[in-house]
Amino acid sequence: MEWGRTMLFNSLEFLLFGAVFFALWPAFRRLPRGRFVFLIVASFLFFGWAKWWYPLLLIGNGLIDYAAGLAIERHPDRRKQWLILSIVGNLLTLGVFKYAGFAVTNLNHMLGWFGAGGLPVPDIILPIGISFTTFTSMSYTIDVYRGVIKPTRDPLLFFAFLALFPPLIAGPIQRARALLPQLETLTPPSSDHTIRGMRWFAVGFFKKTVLADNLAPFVAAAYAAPEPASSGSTWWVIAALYAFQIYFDFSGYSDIARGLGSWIGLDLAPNFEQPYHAVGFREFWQRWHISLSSWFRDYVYIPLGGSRTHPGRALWVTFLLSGLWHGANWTFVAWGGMHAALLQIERWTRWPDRVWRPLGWVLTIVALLLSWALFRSNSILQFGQIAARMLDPRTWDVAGITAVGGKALLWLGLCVVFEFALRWRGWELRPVRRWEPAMIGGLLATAVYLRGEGGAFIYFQF
Amino acid sequence: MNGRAFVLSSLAAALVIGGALAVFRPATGESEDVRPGYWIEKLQAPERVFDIVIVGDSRAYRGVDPALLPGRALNFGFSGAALDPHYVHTAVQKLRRGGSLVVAVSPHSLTARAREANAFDALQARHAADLALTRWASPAYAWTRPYTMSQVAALARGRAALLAPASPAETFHSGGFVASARPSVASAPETARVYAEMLEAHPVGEREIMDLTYLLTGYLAGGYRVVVLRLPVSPDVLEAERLDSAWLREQIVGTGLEWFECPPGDTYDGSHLTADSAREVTGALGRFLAE
Repeated sequence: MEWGRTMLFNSLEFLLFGAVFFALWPAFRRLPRGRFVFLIVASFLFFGWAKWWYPLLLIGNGLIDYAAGLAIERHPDRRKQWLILSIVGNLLTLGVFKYAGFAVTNLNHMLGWFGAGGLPVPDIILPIGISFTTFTSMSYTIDVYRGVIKPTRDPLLFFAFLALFPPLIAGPIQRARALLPQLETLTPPSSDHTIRGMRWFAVGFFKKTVLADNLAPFVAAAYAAPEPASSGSTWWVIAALYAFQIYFDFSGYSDIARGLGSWIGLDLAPNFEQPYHAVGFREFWQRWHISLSSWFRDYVYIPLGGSRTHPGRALWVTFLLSGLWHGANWTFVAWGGMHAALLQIERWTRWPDRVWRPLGWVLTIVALLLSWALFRSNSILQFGQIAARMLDPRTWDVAGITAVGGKALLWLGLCVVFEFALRWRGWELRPVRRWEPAMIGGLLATAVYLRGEGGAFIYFQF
Repeated sequence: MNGRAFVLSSLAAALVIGGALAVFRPATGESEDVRPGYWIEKLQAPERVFDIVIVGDSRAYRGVDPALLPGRALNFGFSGAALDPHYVHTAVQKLRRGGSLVVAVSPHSLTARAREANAFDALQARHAADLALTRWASPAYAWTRPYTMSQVAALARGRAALLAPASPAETFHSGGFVASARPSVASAPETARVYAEMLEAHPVGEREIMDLTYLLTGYLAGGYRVVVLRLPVSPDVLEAERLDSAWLREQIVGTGLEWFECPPGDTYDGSHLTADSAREVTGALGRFLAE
């Protein structure tokens, strides 16, 4: 028998799952071993709701990393071999499930140039969140190898860390050094934890179901059209819609995950800090998908020499790999390359320090919109057509903006207002006001009655 | 305010505001999206009890009302269903021995595209707990139906008209028939264009018809009555589909299967019958089956 659908945070399945989990959690939290068993069972149910064998994949990879961690400590003379085994195991899983089809398709293209027949393209189901779970698992072994953390001997603790359900399928990517000690010494969530969790949960829900999901149909329709719209203005607006769609979709998931983590009693790593307020791309990457960019910084960029020995090489390799991490498509690789080029230019010229800050912000946003147009394109060819229009001032006109439709522009305006309202209010840390529960309740109710058609979270596919 | 009080008062506020929005929710028609349980009920209809089972895609479930057919009938049509062995076999399981299988052929239901993006298979592949939960919670979807922008604007203006019951655009009947109250159209160029493009990429020819007749004659040999029909569409959609009905009929009849010639009918989008036309077509089909 096949299994069901992914248990989305914005689904009835999750509502029931969450209600049962948090009703039982206070009782299990007190049990020194029972809390890990409860977390693992709940997380496997959450993960395995889509396909029963997903948890087996996690167990398989996890056992390799758990054993490698212990072996690195016990056999210092062979630590490198154990690290390689762990990395190869993780990358092999990622390679088979995520990149095999892509690799064979490209190989077939190359064989076609020489007149040779193609190989059958493997049709493998991509397990949700595999990129996130693999990176979480790999960071554990690498940190043990580097001596940053001691390996845990407790398999239950290890799997409670690896399978923890809130960040399991779309991050934020957790580090063992931050999460393992918290799991070991779990205490009841403080009042601050509970309040912050509620705020994150409500805001994340609103971002996802109201903002991101209402933008989704406009973007999908524009990219699905057989012929791209002829006006460059139209594509700038579509790129802006997508910029907010992907931001609110992904940061909404992260907010919900952090909120759930808070209710468990854990502080999960932040993932976004108002990325569209950045001036320059270095700053952007310090604010966007922080858990991934810091992962690549610590485990790829710095080992390759970082900014000291081979800055150019390290930068390009890191961003090309980061692009490929997002998906098995040349558009993602090109997107990574585009950001590497933008960062390279920034490093050479140091332009964000030299230009008037508002102008720097505009330049950053313009380049970001172009990069999002590439990220969302179905092919490099489609991006070529879209970019040709976006970069040709002769195709910029007011009619192109209005062609997107009043509703789309209204949603775009709401997104801008919401983003700035959050910044000005400093919503995460401010003291509770008497009327705040009504506002939080309003956000939750609105998330139900103004929900859009977006459906699954975009980052599930990565 | 402590954490627990904050969470409880936030949830209470959400219930009050959500409850108010539920009461004021627009009383317009339903759509498939808010009736997920409907399709699961259809999928889980009892086996070996029906005298007549109708199979096909959305044209079938909008085009044939089983309540007007003789005996106990089930419209087993699903959106985007492909007339492949798995789907047809599942439908035949619902029939009593010797019952009638009515196959509503549309060019799309014979394409490779329909087989690849098979919505029926995707529904059936969901596990039992998932299906049960969705079916059980289906009425809640009707109470949490999202507002459209224009409805929000009307609500903000204090339009009590939103509360007034409106005629539903679609009615979901228990036998599997979905009746549309939308007005008929004489032509549907956009629908025709979409079908033309789709069938250009995924053509339907002799091979696809042979596959279908091979499949259906197996059930004929197994003691079932098999009737094939093609529901009416608008002239421009018919032309775009490039599947000659006379030729199709010849192929079907040539293999010993029965062909039912549908009377003309009106569609609301070029592709799907209006409720009135569906009932006229069903009436004629009922007489044919009773012969």
